[in-house]
Amino acid sequence: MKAIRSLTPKKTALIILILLGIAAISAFVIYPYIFVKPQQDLQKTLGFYTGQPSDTINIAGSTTVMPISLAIAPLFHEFTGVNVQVSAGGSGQGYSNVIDRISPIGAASRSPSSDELSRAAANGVTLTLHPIALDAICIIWNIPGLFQGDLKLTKEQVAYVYSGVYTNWIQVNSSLPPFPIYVIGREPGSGTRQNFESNFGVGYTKVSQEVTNNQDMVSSVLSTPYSIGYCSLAYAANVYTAEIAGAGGTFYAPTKENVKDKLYPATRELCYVTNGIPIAGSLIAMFLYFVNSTIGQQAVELVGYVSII
Amino acid sequence: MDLIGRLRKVFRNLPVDVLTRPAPSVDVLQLRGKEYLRRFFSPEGFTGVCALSSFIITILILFFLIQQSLPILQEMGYGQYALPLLSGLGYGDYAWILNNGNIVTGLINFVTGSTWYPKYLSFGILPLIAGTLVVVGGAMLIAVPIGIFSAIHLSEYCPLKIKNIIKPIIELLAGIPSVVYGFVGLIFLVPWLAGVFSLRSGQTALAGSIILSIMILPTIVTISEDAISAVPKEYKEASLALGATHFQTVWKVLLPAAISGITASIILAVGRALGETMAVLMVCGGVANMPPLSLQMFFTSVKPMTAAIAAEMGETAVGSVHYSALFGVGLVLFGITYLVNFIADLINSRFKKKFGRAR
Repeated sequence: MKAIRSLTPKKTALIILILLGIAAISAFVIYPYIFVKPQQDLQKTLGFYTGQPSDTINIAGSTTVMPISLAIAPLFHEFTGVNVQVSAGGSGQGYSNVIDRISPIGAASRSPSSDELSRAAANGVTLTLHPIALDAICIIWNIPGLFQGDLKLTKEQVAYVYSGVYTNWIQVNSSLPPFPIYVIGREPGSGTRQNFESNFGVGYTKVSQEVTNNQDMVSSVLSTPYSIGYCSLAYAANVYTAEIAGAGGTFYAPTKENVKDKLYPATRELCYVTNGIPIAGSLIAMFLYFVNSTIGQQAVELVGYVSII
Repeated sequence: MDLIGRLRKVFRNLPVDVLTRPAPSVDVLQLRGKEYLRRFFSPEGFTGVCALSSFIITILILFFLIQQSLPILQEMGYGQYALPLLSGLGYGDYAWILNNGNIVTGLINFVTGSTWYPKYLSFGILPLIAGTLVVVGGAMLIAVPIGIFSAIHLSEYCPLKIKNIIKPIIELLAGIPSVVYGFVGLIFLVPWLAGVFSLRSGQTALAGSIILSIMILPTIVTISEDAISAVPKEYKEASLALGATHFQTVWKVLLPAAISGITASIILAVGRALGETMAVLMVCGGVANMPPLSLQMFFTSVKPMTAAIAAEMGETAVGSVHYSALFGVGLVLFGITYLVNFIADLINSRFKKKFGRAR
């Protein structure tokens, strides 16, 4: 009888590495064939999405739009008996759900990137944005001793603070106390960050901390003295916001009236994204009509954003 | 023929040394080839199906990781495409272009690049690796001494009744979800650190290290305590018989004897700490800068690899370069964890050789 050769760790590792290498090479060859694409013709002609019961709407996407979807869901259910399921995932998730035909509707707080547009074109999807609310990028701050209305900034000053040109509050305005600025930003890929950077003309940012959502931004600013950050309108209720100089040089606070009249210079539209214009009479068309009606827009105002009608 | 005759015939035909050969152990009953296949496709083969399913799942996950991270691993000269992509130049871009105008991908640039700035397609993960190493290294510096001393106390000094209370409660620490650790750290630890060290904010690598060390403590304590208790009684009896005090026995005889088991427990704890996401996401600050090479590294905000993936995956466009870069980070993390497990295997096998059984 042969003696059993023992497997040393080195031999085990070699065998495992060879197996993993085979797996890696197979990934090139086999993966495209085992990936199942959803049936596209059926969806195009009949207008519904496989895997979704006809009395449910799944809205995934931006966390900024999520409060609106959550507020509208019970109202829509009362009117039509349709369930609206809301989930987060970011604007990227909202776009990819529509592009991959997983859901007919998604939520986004930014415009689609070139990657997403090319993927949509490759899949035969036309991304259509339906604005449902007005939002503003509020610059929030925390300087001990100063209160709401004491800080007035121009867009240029904000850009200097975020790109590291100004590192002390006294450089921003000689009337402010001489303390170093603690700059808080958002994670890369955030729709709010993208809007902020394009709106205020900020390029390469130098921040001291990155947070991952609006609530964390607000709590970080509130707990760190001499800090500055940005968030969307619905979350800025309990924190001091800066007044930004508009086109004529006048400083506007991010109040609902200023955002509605587009006087506040950093406004943006929150949108639902669909594949093309929804067929008249379909569930999505009814839902979008509901959101843009008086009742839906009252819900938008209740959440903290500004209505679009 | 009678029985004796038949037996004589059998014995005459056997090889000469069969009676002096050592008796085969049960290990020899290895199923080979056709026998294994026959048993596999019979009712008892469901055991084989279970084992195979775990194996296939691991392979498929690796499939997916490599497939999704291919764009970032291929040699692509993004340098010449980076400038037109900087549409809408803003403040700070001029300095950026002067310093970093040429952005390329490829595995070497990916792993050794020192700028992680996805907006400008700059995917160098060295700051992320450095962040992970700082946080995990700090956690080991805190948890290893405390864990080993706890294990020594539990196995050598603690009365049995108290040990039966303390040990289960330490093991309870391992059952707390990591997001709870992160939350507790955010509410209590971060402001406390800011107060003690007079920092602007307590969101630093030190906060992440402290939280991680509490998380890996049960692993080190439990396994080290087992290793110390498993040292043969003869060692301790011999040392005490030769006149050593209890203290000398513990430090000069028992610990060196159990050192392989203790090292294996440390490596396992490192493996756990490397993969920890939620806690480091909430307390480490999340800024992808290289930490300075001094004691100051613990007081700066870092972005560990796991936190980078968790923070950025949600809002990334599926299929973009950023998406595949995040999968590349996952692949590097997979490689590092595999390396750690391999080292643990090596140490275990050396322990086997020394003492005839695994830890």
